[in-house]
Amino acid sequence: MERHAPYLRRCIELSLRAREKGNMPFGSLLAVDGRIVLEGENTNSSEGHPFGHSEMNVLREACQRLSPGELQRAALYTAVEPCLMCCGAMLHSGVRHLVFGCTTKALLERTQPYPFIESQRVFELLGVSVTLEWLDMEAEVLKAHEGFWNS
Amino acid sequence: MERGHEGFIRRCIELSYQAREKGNGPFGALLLLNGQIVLEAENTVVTGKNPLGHSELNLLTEAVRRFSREQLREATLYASAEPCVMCSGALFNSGIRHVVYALSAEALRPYFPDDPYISCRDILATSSARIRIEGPMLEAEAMKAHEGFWS
Ligand SMILES: [Zn+2]
Ligand SMILES: [Zn+2]
Repeated sequence: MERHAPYLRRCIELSLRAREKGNMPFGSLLAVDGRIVLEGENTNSSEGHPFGHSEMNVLREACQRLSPGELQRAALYTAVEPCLMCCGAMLHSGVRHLVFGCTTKALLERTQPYPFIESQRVFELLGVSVTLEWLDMEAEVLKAHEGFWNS
Repeated sequence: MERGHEGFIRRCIELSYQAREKGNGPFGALLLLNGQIVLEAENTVVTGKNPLGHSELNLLTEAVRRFSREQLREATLYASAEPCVMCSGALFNSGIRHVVYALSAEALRPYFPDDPYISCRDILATSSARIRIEGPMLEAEAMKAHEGFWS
């Protein structure tokens, strides 16, 4: 599990970078065989694009640039657990390994209640075998969100 | 089945033929706002070389750019087939609270035996958001657009 920490820390850096641009503090990356091949940040405000989730941005590009074999071996790292749309995009992309540092539930406890569906539940319902790893880096991840949602 | 839906569902089936003529998967979707069709979209998986190019996601991506959340709350998404997990998630994120589809995921299952399958009802039911889902309807007509395409 600890081997995942540096990748998640990079996702937190990307979250902060998104925030500096006036976007929501979310960041993701894709690693193939341990090497970072793509990075993405949230682009919700700068592109006026409400679907500019960092995971979606990474996966969209991954589908264009990587081979099916690379996608199969890839791991999607993301600071916060992905939403239903991004879980679905992950499935269509062929990526089957997901690592996140903070649950949606933990984030929403600090921000505002909002209906959501746990990613684990999504994959269970679908019966797809996905390696889902949650490394508890909640405090570090949520630092990037401090003062963002209720200011 | 509400008679009012038929015309819009038939238009989605037309759009799915249009997509097929271009070499894409036979899927189409449209957005209805205040009784008017305000957006239409086709599947672009093959021509866009993009496994995420589902008609509903294409439609919703444009919809969230063009319309406010307040407008979208009153809008209806029509689709030639039941939305997948990704598109259900996009629907959920868009704030649209009404979806009507022709073909059920179940009816399409023989064409995609290895794909993760689930009804959008089951997936959206796990969230506390209230989304009105109507379908299947006009399945035989909608299925014609798929005949001979997948084999
Ligand atoms: Zn997302
Ligand atoms: Zn879809």
